Amino acid sequence: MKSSSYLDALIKKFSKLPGIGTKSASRLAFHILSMPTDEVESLGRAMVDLKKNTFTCTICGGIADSEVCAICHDDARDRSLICVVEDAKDVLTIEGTGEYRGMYHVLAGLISPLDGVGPENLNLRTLAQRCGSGAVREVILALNPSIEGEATSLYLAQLINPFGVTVTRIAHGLPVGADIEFADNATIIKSLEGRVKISR
Amino acid sequence: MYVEELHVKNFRNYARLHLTFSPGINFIIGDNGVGKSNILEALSILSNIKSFRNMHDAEIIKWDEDSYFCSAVVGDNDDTIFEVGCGLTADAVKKRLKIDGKEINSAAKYYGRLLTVIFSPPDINIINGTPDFRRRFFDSVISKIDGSYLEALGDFKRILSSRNKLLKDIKNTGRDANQLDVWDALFSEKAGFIIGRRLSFIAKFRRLFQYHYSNIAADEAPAIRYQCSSESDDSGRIFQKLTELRKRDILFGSTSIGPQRDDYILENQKKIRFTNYASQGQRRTAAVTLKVSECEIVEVEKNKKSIILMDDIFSELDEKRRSKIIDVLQRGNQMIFTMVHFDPVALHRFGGYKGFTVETPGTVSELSV
Ligand SMILES: Nc1ncnc2c1ncn2[C@@H]1O[C@H](COP(=O)(O)OP(=O)(O)OP(=O)(O)O)[C@@H](O)[C@H]1O
Ligand SMILES: [Mg+2]
Ligand SMILES: [Zn+2]
Repeated sequence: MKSSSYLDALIKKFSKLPGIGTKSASRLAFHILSMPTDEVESLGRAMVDLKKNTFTCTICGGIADSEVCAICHDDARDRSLICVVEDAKDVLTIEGTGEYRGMYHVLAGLISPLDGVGPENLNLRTLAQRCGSGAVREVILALNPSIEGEATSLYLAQLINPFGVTVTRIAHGLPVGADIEFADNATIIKSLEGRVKISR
Repeated sequence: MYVEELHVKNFRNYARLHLTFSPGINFIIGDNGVGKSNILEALSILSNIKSFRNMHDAEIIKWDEDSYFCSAVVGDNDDTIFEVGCGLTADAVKKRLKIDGKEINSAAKYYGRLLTVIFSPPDINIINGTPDFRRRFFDSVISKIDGSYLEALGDFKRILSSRNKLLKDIKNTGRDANQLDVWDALFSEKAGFIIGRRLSFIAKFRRLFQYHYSNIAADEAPAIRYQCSSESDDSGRIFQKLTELRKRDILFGSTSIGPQRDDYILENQKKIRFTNYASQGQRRTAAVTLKVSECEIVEVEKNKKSIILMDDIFSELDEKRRSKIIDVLQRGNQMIFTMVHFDPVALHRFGGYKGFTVETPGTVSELSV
């Protein structure tokens, strides 16, 4: 029994978030209680704005403020290079290194029969279009080294090769089973540099 | 290597137990149902993560408790501390493994470090049982020697269930059969690796097996042969076969070739299967010989002596075979026996030994000898 039903409600909401248990949830709730009201209001607004005002980029499938995301808009980036990732979080991780200057493509999942996910459930239509446009020279597959990541990489290599585009995969200096999400910058840069060509 | 100390907490019928073993021979003696095998089970979990009795972890936790813990101090060149903890949560069983206080999060990194070989009555299933008993036995031995094999097995299992699920989806929901292409590629690569390792292992193992069998039993030793459903360990050939069998696999919703369908066949020179002619005692001998050969091959490959755990096995063999087995095994390995009766015939063969008696269930006392 909490002393306040409002406090109780917020703690419950927080503890539903990934990686947050009841302890951290109550710590967060008490911290919010101690913040100035306008700070709390702008925090709340930021969350609602994020949800209401973002789109899925129609080109790459990443997170965007309008139809097309800032990366796809940026003329200074190398359009001959596409890095394929599992989800939009991975874009953030690779951008965090500040080393990669090409474009992205977000699959929004991996092929996984055990979860009932096939190629038709992934964001592949626009990828084929992009590869067929003639502007793309190389596609880098930056998927996790899980069984599903491997299967998806093989599938993409078969899909993209006919367009005459080189397909490479990042060198997994990442420990087996490790997510890109948890790798440090140096490791990501190394695995991008050490990418290898897939021939199949 | 040898266990110096064993600690358990809320494990089977023990609230707490602390034993100090002799690096040589140890006997655990007590009536039926007092908790002798439970002690060996704790050691086998510390060694193999799973119990040799193949029970669910939830059944191993002492009744009315929600977790168990066991640890062992193992002497080799240095002392190493192994710990396994297991807890029940609302919807799952969670296991934690530690070596020298450091948490280990993959079975392949833990397995094969604390080396034990367990002899127990259910070993007879390896001879008499369905092929999966034999696959499990050989997989466990190869994995001890080769960590990459255990990893490949894990990957293979996931690829196989993915492929089987996809086969069913193609049949039932009309998914495109071309989606099998990538799974066939992954399958044949891993299958080829696994079969290759099994073939080269069995080539070494069969010689040891035949040698020890004739030595223990003095009758014709059966040969062991790997029966390979894909007829090859070549990934290209396996891929081709999968393509040929695709229609059939879709129809049955399962994969008809691969290491998951293979078997290890014991047969005599006339190619008659061992289980079609062997007596009960000969089967028992073959089962024991598998374990004796396991001890030896692990010692040869890892240059370490396994700890030998003998769960009540002696009561089932004649005196001649017993002494032969002891002769082969008594090469400096630590041994821990359980038995119902203090067996002077078996005991006199050993010089120094340490005895424990389990009297009232769950309490162990040291015997003075
Ligand atoms: N989860 C549990 N909690 C408490 N007691 C248990 C649990 N599981 C098994 N037991 C008890 O442990 C005893 C069996 O122990 P164990 O198998 O070690 O016997 P044993 O001494 O080897 O007997 P035998 O000589 O017949 O092989 C049984 O009395 C059983 O009631
Ligand atoms: Mg027993
Ligand atoms: Zn975009």
